[in-house]
Amino acid sequence: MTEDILKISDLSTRFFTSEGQVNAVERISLNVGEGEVFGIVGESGSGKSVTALSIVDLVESPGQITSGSIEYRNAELADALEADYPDAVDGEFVDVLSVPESVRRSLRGPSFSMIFQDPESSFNPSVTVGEQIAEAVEVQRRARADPRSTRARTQGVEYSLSGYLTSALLPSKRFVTTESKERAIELLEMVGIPDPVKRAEEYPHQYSGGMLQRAMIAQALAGEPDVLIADEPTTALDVTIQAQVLDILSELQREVGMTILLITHDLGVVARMCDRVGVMYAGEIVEQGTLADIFEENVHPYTAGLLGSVPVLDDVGGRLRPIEGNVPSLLDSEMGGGCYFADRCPKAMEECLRKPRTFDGPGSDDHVSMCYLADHPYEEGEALSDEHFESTGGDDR
Amino acid sequence: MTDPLLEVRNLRKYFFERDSFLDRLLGDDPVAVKAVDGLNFEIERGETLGLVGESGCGKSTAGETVLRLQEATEGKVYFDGSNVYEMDTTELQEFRRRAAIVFQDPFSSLDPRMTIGETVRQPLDVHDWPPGDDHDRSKRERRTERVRDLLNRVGLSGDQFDRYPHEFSGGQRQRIGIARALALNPDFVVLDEPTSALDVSVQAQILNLLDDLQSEFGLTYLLVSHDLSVIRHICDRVAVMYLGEIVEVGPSRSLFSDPQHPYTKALLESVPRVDVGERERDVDTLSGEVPSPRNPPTGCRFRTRCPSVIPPEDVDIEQDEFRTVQTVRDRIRNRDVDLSGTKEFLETDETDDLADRIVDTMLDLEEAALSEPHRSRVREALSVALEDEWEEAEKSLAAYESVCEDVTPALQERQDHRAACHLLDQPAGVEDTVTDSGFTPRQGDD
Ligand code: SF4
Repeated sequence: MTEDILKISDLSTRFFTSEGQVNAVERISLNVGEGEVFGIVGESGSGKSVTALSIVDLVESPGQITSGSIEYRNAELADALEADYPDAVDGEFVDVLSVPESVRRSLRGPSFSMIFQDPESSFNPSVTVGEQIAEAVEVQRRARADPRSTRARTQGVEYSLSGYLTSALLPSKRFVTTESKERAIELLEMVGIPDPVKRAEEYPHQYSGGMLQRAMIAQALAGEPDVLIADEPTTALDVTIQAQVLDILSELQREVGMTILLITHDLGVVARMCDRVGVMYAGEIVEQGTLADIFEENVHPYTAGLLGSVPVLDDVGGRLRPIEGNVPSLLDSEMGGGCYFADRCPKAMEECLRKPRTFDGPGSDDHVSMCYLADHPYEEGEALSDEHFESTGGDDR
Repeated sequence: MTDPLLEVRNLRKYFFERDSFLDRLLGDDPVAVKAVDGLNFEIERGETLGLVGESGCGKSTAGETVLRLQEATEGKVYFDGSNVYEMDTTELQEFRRRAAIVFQDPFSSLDPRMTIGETVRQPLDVHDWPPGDDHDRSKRERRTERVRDLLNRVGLSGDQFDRYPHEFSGGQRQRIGIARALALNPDFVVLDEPTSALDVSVQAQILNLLDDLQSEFGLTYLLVSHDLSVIRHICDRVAVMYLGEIVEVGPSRSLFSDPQHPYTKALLESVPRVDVGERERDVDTLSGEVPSPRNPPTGCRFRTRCPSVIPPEDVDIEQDEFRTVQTVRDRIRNRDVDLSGTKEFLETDETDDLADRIVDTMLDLEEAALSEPHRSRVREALSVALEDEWEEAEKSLAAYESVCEDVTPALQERQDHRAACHLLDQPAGVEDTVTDSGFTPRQGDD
């Protein structure tokens, strides 16, 4: 396996709403190897998107990262920060949560780039697509041209920050050079936009959904990021267009050696793209391992339930095995102290009323699961009686 | 065998743009968006037919037009023998009782100001259910009882009668939508993307529920969906749509295991499998995007993306080369070669040189190669186009005209089902009947 580029430990992100504290991400830990595609899979409300936003520091109020570390390997950066922030640096790793916000922000683009499900939100409707990508190229160029920019010396950071702000606020044309324009066209071509020269001159509304999705990938790549975070990048697309976009992503990943963190609800997409996978449920990563660990050696009943729910193309009908019930409330006051899945779990036992720790799974060395079943076999005699969950009812609520 | 419950004959639904009074005054011709363009299919009693295709293929419009929620532009829909578009008020009311619909979005299809009890009861009120007089009990009581039964049947609780939609999860709201559709005891239900907005674990619950209800009440379903796995899972027969037309139709089993139409093959191939071996599976992705239904391609509508488009017999050319030439021809036909932009980009003024460089750039972009004599011909055509002689340019590549662009293929029986592609032998005389989809008209028609 390759060396880790990202180490997330004990990360929690909470939302302090008028209804109470919502534990959207609950002490998750994961490592991503350089050049690897790591998938985070889960249903709505599982915390997968908030995890992505936490990494790029885009969690909005009333949300807040409340604990944990996000360590990112970048020798140069570590070197530059060592003197001023010794606590944030560990060898080649920098804990991005322990450096000032301005430094964190300067990482967006050259270190982490994010693509979203809805490309419209990433483009300004009144500027041509080509210019917007060229702008992203410029921001990157300026950052690289001035090595101080990624350093923590306030001056350096301010420099790149003001550069970023000016290019964002002023008419972009002034800042777009012929070079960055050409690079933008190259990027559009790279993501499979036909006629990139002409297309670069067009506005976002002239693009189809699939095309804009590609343009967004081009924009994200403009910064030559170390880690691309893709949140449901193909969910809004038709299946033949999804296949094209996934193809482009894997090609880029292979060619550039980019690391991808892929957030999705679609197990087929996970199978097509990912080396390793984390399954999220109610804010936690309940099972994690290689693709084969998750698909074939899974121990967590939620993982099994998710796989059993999917109708597959090659099946011949028959009944699906859905997970009864629905995703639980993430309100801190309602979450209880046991396994969060216990009330929907067909194999819940007495012990499950106490929070399970993370156990090693039967698969590869990386395989872990937050379920007692990883540690000892299921005995029907230990099953929790139905009355125990009377209050929650059997149906999806 | 008994008659099918539903028969759709040559159904068309066009939407007209630029059709306002002012437009007509100014003499602008209305533009037809051919959302549904000549559908023929039937649904047997108790079966589930799937309509599958990508966005914009017209599948949802087809579902709504079949129920006469939209008027058809042309064609007939026979429900239990009578034409839905010729029904009088009484007949139509009876049809509305017997044919219901479940919509995709359980969030917007329920009125937020009505309790779920009222929502489910509404069709009973509208149809003054139950028929006749029962002096012992008021209709109101009987309706309330019916609603409670329905709620219980779809997995909710009758006690939730007085709650409002926002108090329910997506899966529960879809159950409410289903209860409402079943209120009048219909025979036929159109399910329009019923699980697309739901999480997969909840989707599985709803699919199982629909399955149970079908056997219990002997329902006939038309399932409209973009999700091939869902379609495969619950449909007895499937019709694949592309740009308003059915390109392949038949029993699920044979259609999925032995697809005949290049589009169906590509569609099936595109679906990522939930399997550890998925990364190694070769997928030939379709290039390009679905063309606009305002101006669909002539002949076979899939030809602009088809990996197997057929070269003329007397032209010796590789498949991918042929597709490149076709792309150029389409671009010339649509006057879609950006000359000034390309000139600027290539920083050259010499037209002569330009045609060469355009060909190079284009081939480069398409990662295609063109052997002689095709390359010279394409180059020739482009330089003529650069002189603004578009028609000349078109003519100079006329030798490449494919049967796929000339003639609309008819649905042909193959491997237990029908597909419309020139790769399957076409019946004699198909040229004359380009819009006919190869269906024998219903007996006694016109
Ligand atoms: S008719 Fe021609 S273009 Fe259409 S699907 Fe068949 S081979 Fe392809």
